[in-house]
Amino acid sequence: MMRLPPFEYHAPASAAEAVAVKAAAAPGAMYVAGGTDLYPNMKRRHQEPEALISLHRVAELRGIEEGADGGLSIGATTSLTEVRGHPRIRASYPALAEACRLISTPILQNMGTLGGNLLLDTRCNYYDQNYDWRKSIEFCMKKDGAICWVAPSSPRCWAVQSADSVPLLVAMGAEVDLLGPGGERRVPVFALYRDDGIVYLAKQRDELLTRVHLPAPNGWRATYRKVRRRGAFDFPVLGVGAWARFSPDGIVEDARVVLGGIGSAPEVVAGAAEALIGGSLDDASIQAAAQAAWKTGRPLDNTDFTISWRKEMIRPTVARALGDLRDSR
Amino acid sequence: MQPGLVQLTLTVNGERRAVTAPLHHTLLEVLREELGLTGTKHGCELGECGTCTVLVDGRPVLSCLEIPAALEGREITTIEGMESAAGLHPLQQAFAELGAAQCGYCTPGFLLAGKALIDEKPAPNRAEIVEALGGNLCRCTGYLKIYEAVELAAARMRGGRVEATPEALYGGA
Amino acid sequence: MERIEGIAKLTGAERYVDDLPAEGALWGMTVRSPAPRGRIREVRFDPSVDWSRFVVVDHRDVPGANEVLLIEPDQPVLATDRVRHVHEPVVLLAHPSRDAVRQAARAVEVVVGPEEPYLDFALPPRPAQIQRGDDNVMKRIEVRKGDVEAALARAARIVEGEYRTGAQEHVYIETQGMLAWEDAGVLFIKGSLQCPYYVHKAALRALGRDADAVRIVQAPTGGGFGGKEEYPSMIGLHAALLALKAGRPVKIVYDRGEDMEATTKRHPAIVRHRTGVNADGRLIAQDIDVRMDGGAYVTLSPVVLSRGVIHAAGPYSCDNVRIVGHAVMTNSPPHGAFRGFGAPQTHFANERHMDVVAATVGMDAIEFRRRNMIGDGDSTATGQVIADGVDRAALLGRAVELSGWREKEAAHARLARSDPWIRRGMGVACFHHGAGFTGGGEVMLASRLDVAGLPDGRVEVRSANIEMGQGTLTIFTQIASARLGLDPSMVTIAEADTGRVPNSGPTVASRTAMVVGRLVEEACDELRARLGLGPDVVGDSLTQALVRWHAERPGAELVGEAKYEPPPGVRWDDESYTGDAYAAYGWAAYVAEVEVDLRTYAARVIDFVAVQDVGTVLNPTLARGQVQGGVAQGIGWALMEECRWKDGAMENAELTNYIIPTSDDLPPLRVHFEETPWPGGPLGAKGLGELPIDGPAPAVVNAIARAVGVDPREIPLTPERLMALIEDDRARHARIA
Repeated sequence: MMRLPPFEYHAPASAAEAVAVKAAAAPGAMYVAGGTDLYPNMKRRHQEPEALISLHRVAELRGIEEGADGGLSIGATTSLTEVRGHPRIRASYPALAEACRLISTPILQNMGTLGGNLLLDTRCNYYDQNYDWRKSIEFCMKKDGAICWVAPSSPRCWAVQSADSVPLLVAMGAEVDLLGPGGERRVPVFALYRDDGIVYLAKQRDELLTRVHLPAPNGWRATYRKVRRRGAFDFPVLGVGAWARFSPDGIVEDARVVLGGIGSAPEVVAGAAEALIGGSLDDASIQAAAQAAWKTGRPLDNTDFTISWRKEMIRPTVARALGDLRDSR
Repeated sequence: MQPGLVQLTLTVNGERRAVTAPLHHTLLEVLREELGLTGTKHGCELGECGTCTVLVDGRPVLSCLEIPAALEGREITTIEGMESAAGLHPLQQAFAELGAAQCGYCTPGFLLAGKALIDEKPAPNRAEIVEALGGNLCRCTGYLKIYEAVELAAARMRGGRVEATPEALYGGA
Repeated sequence: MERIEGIAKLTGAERYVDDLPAEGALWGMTVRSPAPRGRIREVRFDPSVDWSRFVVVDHRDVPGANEVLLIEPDQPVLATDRVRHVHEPVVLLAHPSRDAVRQAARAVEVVVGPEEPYLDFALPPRPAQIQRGDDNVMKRIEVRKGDVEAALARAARIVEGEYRTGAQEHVYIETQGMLAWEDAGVLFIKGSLQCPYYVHKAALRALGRDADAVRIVQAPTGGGFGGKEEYPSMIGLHAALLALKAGRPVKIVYDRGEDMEATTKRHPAIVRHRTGVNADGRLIAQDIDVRMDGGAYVTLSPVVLSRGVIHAAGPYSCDNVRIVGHAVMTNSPPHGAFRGFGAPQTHFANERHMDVVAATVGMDAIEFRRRNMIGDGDSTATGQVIADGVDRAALLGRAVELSGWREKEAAHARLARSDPWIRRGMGVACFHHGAGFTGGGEVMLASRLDVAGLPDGRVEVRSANIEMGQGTLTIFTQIASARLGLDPSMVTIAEADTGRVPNSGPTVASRTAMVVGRLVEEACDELRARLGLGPDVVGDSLTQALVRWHAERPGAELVGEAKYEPPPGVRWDDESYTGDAYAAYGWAAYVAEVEVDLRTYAARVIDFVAVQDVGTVLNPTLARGQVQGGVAQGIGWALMEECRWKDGAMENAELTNYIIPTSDDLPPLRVHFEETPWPGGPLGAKGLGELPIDGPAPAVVNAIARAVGVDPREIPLTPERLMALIEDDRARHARIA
């Protein structure tokens, strides 16, 4: 059996208690919700936290509520199954239901949470390996080592953001609440990420992601498109979140195209927005936006499949995502 | 709680079971090693195959990625709990008739995932079955006989006598 | 009839090796080589570990010859002074705690002074890479029929092609595992395995024991596909060495990563064809070169190569054939048995090549195959005259008809005109698979099987052939029950325990139902003869006779014995590689329909029709399962399963990155059997297990080729490879324009 490394275990009953326990615990302590990312990583010895603070007893972190502004507020430990099946989400945020449907498998969606997906560890071919494999090539800098095997002269780690919900929530302009010892703050999902494979979150050490806020569903549309090899299990080779707000006569007033599965952080393609804003989402502007995304997205040779194919996927996938926005009108 | 042994009360197949186990052992390990329920198999232990699927409160989860300490008070169902006093579950019966188990190693996971599907959707269509079983790998069958077994069991559970009709065999059956 | 052990498998009651209780057992782990080739300079044990708490075994603890005996004695049980592949076993550890032993294995370091490895079998080895003979060739085979050069000289067209296939991992869902213990001087090795007597033979040699001091017992086996043919000898010996040293039972169960990294895979292959066709579109010369990567030790490579070579010319009639095969020693972990055993590689090449040849000479791919299909009275490349009454052209016709080929092709053409991105295509493959061991193999095996009459009137089939999901227990029950007119409940199958069952040979090579099943019939007849009864005595009368016999002879054993005899007229010459390579062949025609998305370059099989004749179908449900499962594995091999290697080690040894088809990746797998009974097999049956994996890859790739108008030569045909082909094609057209 591939045992987990031993850990201290805490099961606080409230978010505030969880944060307090975390602040008092050893520096390597970690929160755990569904465990579908953390536990495999612990079995591979990517993470060896001295203590785990399980959120399963914290009822306030679960569930979906109407937001004050007409939006929706989703507790961070709400399961992906619940998110994708929730009537309000299916009706008003179908792209989020679809993104959750495309995460791994239905069984893992029963276990995994929306907050957990937002905080998913970055991935890399030199990192997502068992302990002995990583040891045999010398450990990389993301865990136990000093070098980046993707770019050996690089001072940073290039592991890849690989969560399906992230490009979409960034594109939608969703926000998250972070509860820390000093209080709670709300930040855009985009601001949660740093362009670094190791320190990939801008969240402070003890902060707990408590809720995800979706903006009120008026005047905009969003979509998520995923490239993967199989019909289940696979992490995104590429994930594209796209969002646009339309004037009453169908002109794009604002737009965002976000790529996942390319860099260490979700990549917002500024050139794509420029190509779309002010136009009517016609073929030409879609192609221009896709071209801009293709220029922006520069995958490195650190996930499964060749760089050239991964890069080539950007153009058609962005075009299809934007086609969704047009067709769903 | 410190690392080391913990005492837990788990509800497994309707029975409350007191168990002492290392805290960091997964539900898979505790079921197999402490409770002697070896019907739950393991294929990868990393959440990549679905072999170790069990039900928690009726929903399929991977026992290799669950910590028992988080499951006190919840209903855990393993393959050993699928049969009832009345006999085999209709899905087990359909698997037997249609030959949906070959080597049998992935079978407990498929049975439990399939049961959860039928409990939630009494008349699942083929696309729903394919999706619901997407998290369970099988290397022997090519999945077809498993789908047919789910369809047959679901039809029987909706009532009435239904005979197996393997659609994908031309003649000879 | 339903699967005999079905209910146990459906209720969680079936006990696989990791489920077996083992009082006081230790857990074993293997410390492996970090390097593909070199001298072992040192094995460092971390001094911070108290090693007295562990059982430690290395090559010095092997009491007999340090060899995993199979074909050649070159593979050590544990490396002595040198290693020849990454993950080669060097040291074994055991401890009561599964956690502790895993930790400890990480505290042992094997220090290797590296030497230049030979890792790319496509290139000739450099002098520093030579490790066997003067060219690293471990086996060369040549088949000759007629005069290939003369025929090529008069051919209307000569078409050449080179085809490549990659390694494939078995991914049986139950990883490998073994339990060993000693009881009253007898060593027991029990676990997940296909060939109890292979492990037995290897154990006698390496442990220096007498035959009756070792018993090998098969535990219920969670899939094998050939992957549990030879490697279980290695793990079994490891568990045994630890158990003997510890004086306690030891269990070794591999986790998925270890299993994928260390155990065997399908041999990578390169096959070159040079084909002569006359003006009528008939094959007049097939010149074929087969090269396989055998890996670091010989293991089964010579016989894998042999089967690959013998099937390389396909199910066609051609008067002039030359096939030359080489298995090459490299520093990869040894490649080994995998369902099909060399034939899927050469069938892929041949069937892809048939489409290439047909296109080159301007013929329809189906008509070209039909015209050249081997007929009764024609001979194969080895000169074997085929005369089994199977209408092979009719199989092809049936597959084409059931698939709706003509209507679908028309629809595909319309789709190509109307949709900018989606293309669909149909592809076909015709192929055959010889059942049983190759050539004189079955004679050398000299399989024996017993059927015992029990005091309670039941009969017990005693064979070494095992159940791994394919249906052995059920099929043997059916055969004995039919032969003796008994209800199936009156037939039991003995556990495959070398202490109790005779050596009926390994459970491989599509031989169990056909070859061993025939022995079940013969042993049933012999049992009846020993009771002094004629063949007309069946059912209750037989049961009563059994009960009476035992009542009169308390404690006596009543056993009908059978021993393999080749079917009359079968002749094979191993020197010239001519004659009857197999007693019987299964024949098939498979049709795939694919859809390609020109944006993602992803190909998906959307329909699949498998038509075959394997003689009488003994159990339609089991047979359909065998075909569907084999096709699924074949589609995986064709499109997605790829072992990525880095410095001789598998880089993607997890199920997230070595990907096999999920439920969402397979089409309806429609199966049809034509049944031409074969008199040499039980109830008219031939072997079936391997045939279904030979055809899917060429059928699927031919379909993709037709869908998008490119010419793929290598599998897996991943989106990356297809993208490269399509881009090359566009560039070529751009240049022409």
